[in-house]
Amino acid sequence: MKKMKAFIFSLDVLAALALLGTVMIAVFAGSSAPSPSDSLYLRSFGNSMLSSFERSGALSKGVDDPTTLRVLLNGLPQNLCGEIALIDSAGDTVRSLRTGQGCDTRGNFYTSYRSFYSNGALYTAKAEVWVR
Amino acid sequence: MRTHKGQYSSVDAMVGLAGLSFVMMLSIYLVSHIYSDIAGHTADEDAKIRAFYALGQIMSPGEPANWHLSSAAAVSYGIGDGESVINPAKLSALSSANRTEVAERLGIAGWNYSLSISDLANGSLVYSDGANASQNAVLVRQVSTMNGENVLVELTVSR
Repeated sequence: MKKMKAFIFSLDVLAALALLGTVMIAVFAGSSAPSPSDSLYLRSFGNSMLSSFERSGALSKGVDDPTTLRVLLNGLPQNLCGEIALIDSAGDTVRSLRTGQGCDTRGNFYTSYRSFYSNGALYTAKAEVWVR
Repeated sequence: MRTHKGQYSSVDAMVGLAGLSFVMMLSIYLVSHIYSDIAGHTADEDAKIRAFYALGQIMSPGEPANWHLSSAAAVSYGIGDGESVINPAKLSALSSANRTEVAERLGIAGWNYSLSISDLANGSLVYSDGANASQNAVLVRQVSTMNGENVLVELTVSR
């Protein structure tokens, strides 16, 4: 009888501890999740980046010479990482550039697309932005 | 025998009470952690959302679109001239506009704000308006073009 009582007690404890552990994990893991404003901001930043690069002709020039595009990417704020791929109409990536050090690991990233012409041919620029 | 039984029982009770107080303390800590997290998160989110939409409005052409040429107050202050193009004349007009009124129109009345624009290629400062905000400031950025060059627009908002 005593053994039985002890067995029931330990099951209770196990269940309570499991519940406590779940709550703790949920509390501490939840704090690292991206907020809605962060995702809104990153999407908007990626869109503005592609739009501006198209306006300034950096995307168009980037098909033949990626130097300007690389300089601009490296000028992005320190806490942001970005990657730009220039894709031709056949779907082949002709250029792929990424911001420098510390950007190897991606967190939650957001993708933007923009089409543009270079030398009369249609291309698509794909940008991915994430927090370093 | 009774004394023994009582002793076992009190050890049980002590262990149980110790366990209970541990769990209670942990629960209180977790609840306060969750509460402060939610309170801080909500305030932070509010500032971020306000800053985000204020920057969106600044990057728009404003209303009326030629507000910088009119002596009347603008309905909305914006320095844009179409998508991702900054009009330097509007930027100049914004810098001489009443900051309180601009903040009210941007939806950040009662908040401190500063706007700066720097060249994306070399990092040089092109424009700066307003004092640097406090430690709890929220910073939002967008890329745009001004005079054909890519620039980084930064809006800092704080209480």
